[in-house]
Amino acid sequence: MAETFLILLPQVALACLACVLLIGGTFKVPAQTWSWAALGSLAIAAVCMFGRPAYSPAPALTSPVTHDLLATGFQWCILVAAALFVLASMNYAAESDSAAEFYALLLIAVAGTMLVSVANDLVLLLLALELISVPTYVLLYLGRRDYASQEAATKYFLLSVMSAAILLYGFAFLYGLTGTTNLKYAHLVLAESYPTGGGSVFGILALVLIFAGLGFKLAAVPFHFYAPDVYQGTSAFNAGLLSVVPKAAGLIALIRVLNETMTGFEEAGERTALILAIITMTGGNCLALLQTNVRRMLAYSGIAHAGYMLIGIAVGFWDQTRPELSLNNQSSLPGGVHASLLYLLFYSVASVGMFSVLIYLARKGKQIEHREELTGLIRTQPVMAVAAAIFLFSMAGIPPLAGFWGKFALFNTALSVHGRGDGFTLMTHAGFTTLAIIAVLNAAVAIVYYLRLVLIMFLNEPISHPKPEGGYGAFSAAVISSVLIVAIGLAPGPVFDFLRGPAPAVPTAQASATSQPS
Amino acid sequence: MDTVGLENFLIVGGILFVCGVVCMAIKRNAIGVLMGVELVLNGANLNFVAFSRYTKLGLDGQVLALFVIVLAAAEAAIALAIALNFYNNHLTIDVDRADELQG
Repeated sequence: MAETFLILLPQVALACLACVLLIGGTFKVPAQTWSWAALGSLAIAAVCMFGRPAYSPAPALTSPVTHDLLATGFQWCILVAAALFVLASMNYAAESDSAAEFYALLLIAVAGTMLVSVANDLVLLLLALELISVPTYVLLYLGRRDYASQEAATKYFLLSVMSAAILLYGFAFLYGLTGTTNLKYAHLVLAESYPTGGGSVFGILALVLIFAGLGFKLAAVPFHFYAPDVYQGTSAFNAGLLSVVPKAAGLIALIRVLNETMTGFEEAGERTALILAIITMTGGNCLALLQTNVRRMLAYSGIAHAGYMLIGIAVGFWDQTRPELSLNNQSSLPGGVHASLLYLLFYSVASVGMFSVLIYLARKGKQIEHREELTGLIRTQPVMAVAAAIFLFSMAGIPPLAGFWGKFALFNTALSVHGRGDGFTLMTHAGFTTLAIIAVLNAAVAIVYYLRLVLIMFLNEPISHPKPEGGYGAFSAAVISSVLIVAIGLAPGPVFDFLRGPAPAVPTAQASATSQPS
Repeated sequence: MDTVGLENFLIVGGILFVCGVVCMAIKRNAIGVLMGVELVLNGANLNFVAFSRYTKLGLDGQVLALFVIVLAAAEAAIALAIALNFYNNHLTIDVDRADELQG
């Protein structure tokens, strides 16, 4: 019990500090104070991270939380991303009359995201996901008070509660199938009931409904309609937040509920993830080509990135059925789910950075909308132009930058999947090879619209001189992100090493499952 | 009691789910859409309670259903604020009037 509390301590600390901020918001203090208070809260949460117990080799089956390397890495990344967000929003929050509430909500959403990664129980997972959604609705609503912003908030709210309801319906079937809300225990029950695959109607229903509910968070294609409208309608800060936090939570929840739990349904999951991945990246990239609004373009590119991440999920299902062939055990490169987490990390840093640039360049009540507003940025704001180019090239996957390694790891895992024919012939798997080819073609398409934006910034003469009002916070957030992107790109080794870790989370879960029925 | 089994509850839950989804899809009124969401949540809740009653493992499902009821209340509170603000701007809560952002 005490251990569970220690594992949850960072999240508990964040939630408590958020309450302190909410109460403190009633006093009249300069808005900047709250930025520093938020940064301090994140630092306290980071200190609490060190207070957690060591990983136990055989986790208790009744525990509502998981404590593994995956969760730890994820939590650190979220904390760093949150710190960058707080930096980026310094001036933005000072403008609004509710800086304290703004940061309190941000901290609660961060606590929710961290909680998703440790949740080992359907109740906790559902509440953690809502802990992200509910503050996000309010943040969208606090952002701007104009027509477009209200419309964005309304659209996001209605679609988000819809997706939460569908996700819950899926959870109901998962519960009905296994008779427990504990995910590790559910995994064991499923491993015993459906050792050879196949599976029941309940399982398939649960799988499809959970994919639908979490697909919304990821902005995967049939559930993506809200993304471009909301990104365009709301402020640059909110758009940045939406492009990172729900995607990260959705991805880790998918891994926890489907990859690590639903054994026996790998084939259905693999197929669903494969199809979703293909339509998501193709749809996102093709529509991004048509956009002239910068934030709409970034929204569609975010959709496409979600498609790439789903490749890792599909491979993760395959890894589950054949742990001995999984890349995780064989080479220095990460296998399925780890590759998609790596991709998520690199995408998030670039996305935070890119939106920081947009926040920095915005003026009071006047956001960067059309891409022509960035014309000739290299003359007027050289640092921001170079930083933006780094983020865009990283998202496009140009070699010396972090994004390249993400794409490399993902495509590599997709190509490492062998055919179903057992024996010594290592034929490639037709579905995954097609997937990899489509992914590479998509990456080529994506370069077109990223490069177009970079060329506008670098080659054209400036039309107007922007007067950036984002403040030094947003400026430093952009610079820090770009330094991170370049540093990881030049020396990706440590990140890869960390992901491989001493005891990868997925194979251990598999090992305990296979040993149980015998 | 003998004649009412798990499947009866699941069928009712399924009907609620379908009604909710149809309601979300065709209602033009923001409050109407929200009612559709509530129907789906209740369908899921009914499933949870029914599964909990007909499997031998504890009260997990019933507890989850209680959590969901509280969650739905929290969402309704925010929905009210958003709907009011939408009304202040548009003088209606017809979601079709939210059509500024397209492309």
